[in-house]
This record gives sequence, C-alpha cells and structure tokens, in this order.
Amino acid sequence: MNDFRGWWQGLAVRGVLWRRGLDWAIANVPFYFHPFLVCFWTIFFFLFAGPARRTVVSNLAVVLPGSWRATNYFRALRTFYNFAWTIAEGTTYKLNKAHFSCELSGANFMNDLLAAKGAIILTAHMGSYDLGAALFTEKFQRTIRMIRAPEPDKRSAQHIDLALEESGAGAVKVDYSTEGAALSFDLLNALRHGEIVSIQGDRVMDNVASASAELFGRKVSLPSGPFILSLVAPAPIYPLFVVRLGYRQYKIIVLAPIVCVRTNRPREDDLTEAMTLWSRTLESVTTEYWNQWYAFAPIF
Amino acid sequence: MKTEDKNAFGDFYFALPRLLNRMRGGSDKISESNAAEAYFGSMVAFVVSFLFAWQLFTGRCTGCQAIGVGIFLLFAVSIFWLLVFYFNSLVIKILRTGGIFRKMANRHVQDILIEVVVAVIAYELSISVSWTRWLGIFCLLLLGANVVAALLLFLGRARH
Repeated sequence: MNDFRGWWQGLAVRGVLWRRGLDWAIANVPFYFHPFLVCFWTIFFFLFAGPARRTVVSNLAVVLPGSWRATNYFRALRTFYNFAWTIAEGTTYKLNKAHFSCELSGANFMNDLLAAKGAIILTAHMGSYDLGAALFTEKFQRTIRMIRAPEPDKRSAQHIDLALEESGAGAVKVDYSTEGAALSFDLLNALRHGEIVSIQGDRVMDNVASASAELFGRKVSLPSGPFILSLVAPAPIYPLFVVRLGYRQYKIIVLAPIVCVRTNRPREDDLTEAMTLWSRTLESVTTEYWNQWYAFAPIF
Repeated sequence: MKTEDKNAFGDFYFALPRLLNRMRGGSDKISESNAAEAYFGSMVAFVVSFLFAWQLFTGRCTGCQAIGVGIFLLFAVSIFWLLVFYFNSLVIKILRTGGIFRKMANRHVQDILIEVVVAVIAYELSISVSWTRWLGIFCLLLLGANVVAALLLFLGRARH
C-alpha cells in the first residue's frame, strides 16, 4: 500500500518520477529528439498542471498590464516551453557533460562579486538557476552556498540536491530556507568567512522571514532574510540572473549591487530601502524576461 | 573550458554535414550542440511518421473526420515515439548482454535504431501513390547520403 502511495505521489506535478523520467530521456534519447520531447511534455504539463498554468497567467496579467487574458495563455505556454528546455538542458549538462555557451552581462559587477570577501547573490525563479549555479562555479571557480525553497516531495528534493552536487562538481552546497535560525547563523558565519551565498528573493515560503514590498504596484511579501544578512554581515547584495538565450546558450546577468547600510534611521527603514531597490530590479528583469519567470506558486 | 567552447557550436552531429564541413576545410568533430540539427532531426522524424500514420488511417475519412483523426494522430504519433524509445532501450539491454555496443552510450545506440525506424517508415511512404512519396524518397536519400558520408569519414580517418 505504501509503495503504491509513494508511486502515486511521485506522479504529482512536482513528483520525483518526472525528474527520473527526464534523466532517463536525456541519457537514452539522441539530442535531435529533444525538441520533440520538449514540445510534447510542454503541452502535457500545460494541460494537466492547472494551478501552475493559472498562476503564470495571472502573474502575466500583472507583469504585462493591459495584456489580453487569451494572449496570456499563449505566453504561459511559452513560459512552460522555456521551463521544459531549462530543466532538460540542466539535466543534459549534468549527465552528458555537454557544451554550453555562456555570455556575461555586467562584467564589472561580476569582477567585484568575485573579488568580494563575502557576498550575497540575490536571484529569482528565473531562467536556469540550477544550471546557472553550476556554470558559475565552473566558470569562476568559486564555491556557492545555495539557499532553496524546499520541494514538496522529499524524493524530488533528494534528486535535486544530488543533481546540483553532480552539476556543480561539489562546489554548490544546498541549504533549505526553512531551516530557521540555525541556518541564519550558519550563513552569517559563511559570509564573514568570505563565501558567496545565493538566495532566491522572489517568493516567500512558510517559516521564512518576510517583509512587505511593492512589486508592479501590488503589495507582496518578499524574503527579508537576504537584506538582514547583508546588514548584519555586512555584505553587498548582487542581483544575478541566468537567462536562456537559445539552444544550449545562456547569459549571466549581474546588476549593480544593492548595498544595505545601517544608518541613523530605524532599522526597518534601511531594510525597506534595500527591498525597494530589489523590487525595482525584479520588475525590470521580469518585464524583459517574462517568459522565463517560473513563478508557479502565487505571489501577487 | 567546456562552457566557452565556441567551436562546438559550429560543428555537426550527422555525418553528411560533417563531411561537407571537412571538404570546406572545417572540422569533422562530432558535436551535439548544433541547434539547427536538433530541430531538423525532430521535425523530419515526426513529419515522416505523422504522414505515414495519416495515410494509414485517413484513407476513407471525409473532411471533418480527417481533421479529427489528424489531431488524434498528433498525440498518437508522439506516444508511438515514446514507446519506440522504451522498446529500443530494451533492445539495447539485450544487445549489451550479447556483447554488442558495450562501449557506446545509450543515446548513440538509440540513434542507430531510430534511423532504422525512420528509414522503414520513409520507405513505406516512398512506395505510396500520393505526393507524400516524394517526402519519403527525400528522407531515404538523406539517410542514404548520411550513411555514405559516415563511411567516407571512417575510411578517411582509417587512411590517416
């Protein structure tokens, strides 16, 4: 009975069976059949992952004000298509050690980030953050502490951890944002020892410190942890996004750092100022790359 | 560095473009990073198998029925290919136990088996009486030219 329940849970949209199936396909199917498989599974999940589809459509209405709902369904399909390519290529990188082209935008900020003794990379569920971490560690020879939102399925979480470990050749260490105060101290310690910590700053999960911010004119909750860490450590925050440009082609975008400094004002005001800067950054990047913002859980 | 290897993006996977590239003074190195090949390969395999199924099942259908069957076939042909991949993986296992293809990666052995499947379907198309026979003939010519190119590349390498 338990076996059947486990198997059934594995079939959920975020279940482990799909990820294992993807691994199997990448290892067993020639690369020239990948576009066909990506199209097939995009349509499959677009039809059957109803909540995710509705969330993407409603997000698009906010990101692209004035857009038609019918058109947004096609845009959501495009988002699903990009997501399918992103996870397929992440797996290709992990299993087949394939060649990827990676260009960099914001080289001066990247140099500052690499030279910094302790820095926070603030990113979003955009493009390929998993492949991005692996490319980053390989290209720049720096280890990363990656803070992720936990997967609802335990076996999926294990699978992703292992995948990140393999892709990053041990240079990516994964922690979960729900680990609480112990993790905060651990991260603070890591920053003070000069490490780079990567956090996704566009979605709040349960038990994660958050604060209210304005995104596209709407009140949303964004994680406040990165800003508190930046203030206490102190360490600069570098907004960094890895977007897909085409077949096995990616671009790392590094933007101007957000410096969270303690002033004479109340601490909340310092945090609010930094979070407002992050919101503006997130707005500009998601407006440009709306088809790669994989926010499948409600934000607005 | 792997991620910066721009050359890999100018290389090809199929033997025919590799041979042509070599004749132009380029490299004949195998690469799976060519987007055009990836999309072209998917398209040819899908279109050939779809047209074959279309001919097979819509022979006696009227206009509206044919459209309905066509939409159904889009999914049916996709499922057919998923089953082919799975069946091929079983064949590869059996071949491996017999000591064949032991050093080749699974996806490369699948490549050979898939080309056989596409060749069979293209042959069936080529002997049909409708316009689709030309597509079948074109596909067979491409596959044949690819095999010849693979042989020439092999012989060229053996000579060196």
